[in-house]
Amino acid sequence: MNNPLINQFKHDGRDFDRLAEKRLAQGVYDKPLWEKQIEKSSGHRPWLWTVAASVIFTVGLLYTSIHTHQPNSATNLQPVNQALTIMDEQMKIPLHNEQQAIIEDLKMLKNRFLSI
Amino acid sequence: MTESELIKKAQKGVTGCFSQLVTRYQVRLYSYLLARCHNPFDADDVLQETFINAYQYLHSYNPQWAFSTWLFTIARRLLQQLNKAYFIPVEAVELTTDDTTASLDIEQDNIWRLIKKHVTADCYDALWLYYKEDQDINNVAFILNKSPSWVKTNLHRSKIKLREIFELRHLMETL
Repeated sequence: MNNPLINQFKHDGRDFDRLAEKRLAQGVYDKPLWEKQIEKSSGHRPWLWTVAASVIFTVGLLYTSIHTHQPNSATNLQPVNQALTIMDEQMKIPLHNEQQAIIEDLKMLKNRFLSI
Repeated sequence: MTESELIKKAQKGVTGCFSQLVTRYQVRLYSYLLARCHNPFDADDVLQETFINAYQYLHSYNPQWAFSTWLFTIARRLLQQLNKAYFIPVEAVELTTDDTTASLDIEQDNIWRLIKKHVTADCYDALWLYYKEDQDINNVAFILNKSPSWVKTNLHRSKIKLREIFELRHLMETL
């Protein structure tokens, strides 16, 4: 019972095959379009490579210029270190004085307490 | 050159080999898309996209499946994504109102045009792939992303339904 139906599926399907062949032959469907699109997508690569190369070159140039202008001896840092040490000491002096005053007060309180 | 050799070379970037694969399968794929889409322009677009996708993802092709199965899978997924060729629930739709295949030398009583009114998109694809493309049940299941038992059951149900419809149609014509 199914055979006529299945035969018709096959038979009528060939109509679409013929139609597809005809349209492909007529160039209705632009066959090379997928090739063009693939070429177009792969055509970005040289442009990307140029950009990547220029970025690497620029970074390299910057690195080299920074490296050559960087102070390379400890003597160049001496004034800076001295200034930092002075600043550090100046900040510590008031704290040290405060500490000494507290210790003196505590000693005085202790003596008073013991004398009672 | 065999198909597997062509695929291997195409995977290595030989565009000419991929072109040969396109030439081998374009008629079968285009035929399916012309039958499946509501207008030939959608079929053209999906065909182009199928080959572009196939080229781009050729490295992920699994030789466990036939190359044609893989191409049909891509085409069908594109149809789903584009949502262009999915059938509206059928009973309510007059096929001839929006179906431009009439202008494409396909007879109105062509079974693939007639059954669009009576089966779902999944069943239509199952019928096409199994009877027209001679794909086996497992391949059809893979393309449709369904189980083999789903394919068997729905092929059977579709055939019964269509047989009844065509018998009734024949009876109406003879009266």
